Amino acid sequence: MVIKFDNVTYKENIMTPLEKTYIKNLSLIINENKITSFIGDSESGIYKLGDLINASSYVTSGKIKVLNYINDGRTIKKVNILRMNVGLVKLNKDEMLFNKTVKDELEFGIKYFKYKTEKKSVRVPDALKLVGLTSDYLEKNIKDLTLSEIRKVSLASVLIFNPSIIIIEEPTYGLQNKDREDLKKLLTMLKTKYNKTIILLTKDTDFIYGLTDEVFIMNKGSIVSHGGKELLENEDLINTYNLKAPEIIRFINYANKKNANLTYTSNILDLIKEVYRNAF
Amino acid sequence: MHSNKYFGSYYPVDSFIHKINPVIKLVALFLLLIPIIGSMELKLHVVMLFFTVMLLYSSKVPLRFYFNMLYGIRYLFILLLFLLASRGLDLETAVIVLLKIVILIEYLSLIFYTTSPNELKYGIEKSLSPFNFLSLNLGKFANVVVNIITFFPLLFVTEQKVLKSASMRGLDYYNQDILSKIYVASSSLKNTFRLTFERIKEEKFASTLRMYNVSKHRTNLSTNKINFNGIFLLLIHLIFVAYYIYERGLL
Repeated sequence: MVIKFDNVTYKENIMTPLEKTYIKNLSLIINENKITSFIGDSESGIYKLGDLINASSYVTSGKIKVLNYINDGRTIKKVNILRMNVGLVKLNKDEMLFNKTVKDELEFGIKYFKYKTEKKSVRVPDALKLVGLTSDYLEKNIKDLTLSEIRKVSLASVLIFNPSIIIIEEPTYGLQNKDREDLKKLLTMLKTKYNKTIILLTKDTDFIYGLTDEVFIMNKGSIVSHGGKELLENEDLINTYNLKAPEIIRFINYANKKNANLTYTSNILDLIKEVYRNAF
Repeated sequence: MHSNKYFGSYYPVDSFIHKINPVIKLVALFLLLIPIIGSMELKLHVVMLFFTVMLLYSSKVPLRFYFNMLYGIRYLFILLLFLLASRGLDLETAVIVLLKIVILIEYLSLIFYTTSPNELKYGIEKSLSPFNFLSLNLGKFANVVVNIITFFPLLFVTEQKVLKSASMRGLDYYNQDILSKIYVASSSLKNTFRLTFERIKEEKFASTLRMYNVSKHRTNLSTNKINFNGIFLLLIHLIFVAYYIYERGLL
């Protein structure tokens, strides 16, 4: 167990007409060295989980234990060590990148976390390479980047200080098709080779199917269902919460309704073989 | 997101003040300025203060936002009292001057909290449209005025975002002592100003995309209608002006 939510409630604009509850009495455990996905629509409160785990927002009630730190609404001592261990990649560019150039952006984390600053000149291009960008981007202005590049720089700015927990909001938002596959490989490598705990907050069930170890479905600030990736095979359940089942699952379910008898797989090549065997 | 409100920012709730035409609001402010500047009658100022507080209450914006504003400038009031005392003014005059400032600040806050920047731009353009014959670029003027008004709220919002994202990557602001907070805030100031100016440029570009044009009714059609509440509000302001004229014997 690396993260534990204990009856957590999170509200914003308390005691005003705009008061809103994002998380309601949430209790859950996130295991280490696994890829855990939280799926839900925009009103489900999934994006607030990252802020709470990273302690950039404080809980309204309840408590969250992350490593040896507790977020119970009170000031956390040595919060920087917690944040260095929990890298958060925000979806919104304005809440993530604020420096002028890519180089400044990447150096920011290692400078203020004081993480291997002497190896700055090596780590910066390496972080860019890891997300599929070259050193030519270092002097580029952030506002001249495309959405896909902004997402990659955001991820690199977190990977550079080597956090043990990586949280990514909408990992595939803005990415092109090839980038999606590269990201899948990168996340798998981070999990298997570097023993990272990865948390994905997303609506993209296509991306997480075949990648994730655990899935939590959230609706209106609460967990409505929890299980392995098999949870995504229940199309009716997924549809109930304003989400879409993975395309591959929809195809298999549709074929099985027509008596095809296909087994669930996340690999398209395996599916083609299975269809071929069924047909002949 | 809306927990911290700053002078000049918009508070998006549904109240009858929010629905009043921005031109009516600006004309009402202009009418209110006449007795505020001209009159030295205590009773009139007390009534105007009461009326302003009623409007603040009906705006559905939490009253503490309005009072925070006054609390923020409390030292200015003390300084003003010293100045008035040093000039030998009597207590009643001092109270009237303070009431004038309070009414003005709260009324301006009311307008900014209940009028979105787009509506405000529309209101300023429409209010100045009688001067169209001078062939001045009133759209640009309205844009500059609104940019000046909304600059500081935008700056503070951007500062909050920069501080939050800097905190996520090692430069913590929220769990620090006052000296460290000053250091963090000042070191992020350069980026904050750059991002705020970029945002203003983007907004200008977005306005152009929406074909912002003084002679067309495009946006905020529901709030830009002149309704009964607007007329009623205007009538009350006219009564204040009429009382002021009567009191000064100008008729």
